[in-house]
Amino acid sequence: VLIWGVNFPENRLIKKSLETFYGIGNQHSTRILAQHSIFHRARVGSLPTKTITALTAELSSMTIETDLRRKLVENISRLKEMGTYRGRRHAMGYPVRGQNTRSQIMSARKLNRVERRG
Amino acid sequence: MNPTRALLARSVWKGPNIVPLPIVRVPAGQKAPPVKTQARSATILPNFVGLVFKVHNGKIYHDVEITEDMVGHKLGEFSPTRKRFTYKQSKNK
Repeated sequence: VLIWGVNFPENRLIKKSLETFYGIGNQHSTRILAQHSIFHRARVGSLPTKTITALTAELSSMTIETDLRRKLVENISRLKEMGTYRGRRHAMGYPVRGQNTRSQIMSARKLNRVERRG
Repeated sequence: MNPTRALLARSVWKGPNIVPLPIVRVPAGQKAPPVKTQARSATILPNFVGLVFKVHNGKIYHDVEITEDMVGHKLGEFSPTRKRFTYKQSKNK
């Protein structure tokens, strides 16, 4: 079954299938299922075509996947272009939120970049 | 400057931190002189856009030109207070 261009096998839970999109987790998937009155343990194969189309329309209106990733990268590069303290910390790969840099900065080194993924 | 201050945001009901700054309104066509200030905690208001501020960092006054993106931030965010850390191995044994 094709939801928003992605194929899902029939016997998978619809909630789990929605959560495979970047930007949809527990909260958003519950809200979407409630809005379309879908049983939360329903399988993908049990949904009528009308519901599938409605879900596709819903997903295209939300910011998920590439739109969301672009938004996050834009936020960080905006900070850097303005020349703020936070932007500089992201560029250097240091903690942004005022942590001590004497030790325990491995998460910052790994995650804080200008092209930060997720 | 405490970097977490931006995230422990000021409550909205209090309004922005407005500091009386000596802003000169020049007639159209003339350039406003840069405003020298030590008030790093002053919030940037929409009527600052386009002006040039000289923000103190403890030692010198950094030139900061205000653009539209900068409106909710504080002046001190644009004037770094510490020199970048560089490791220099000294030749002394």
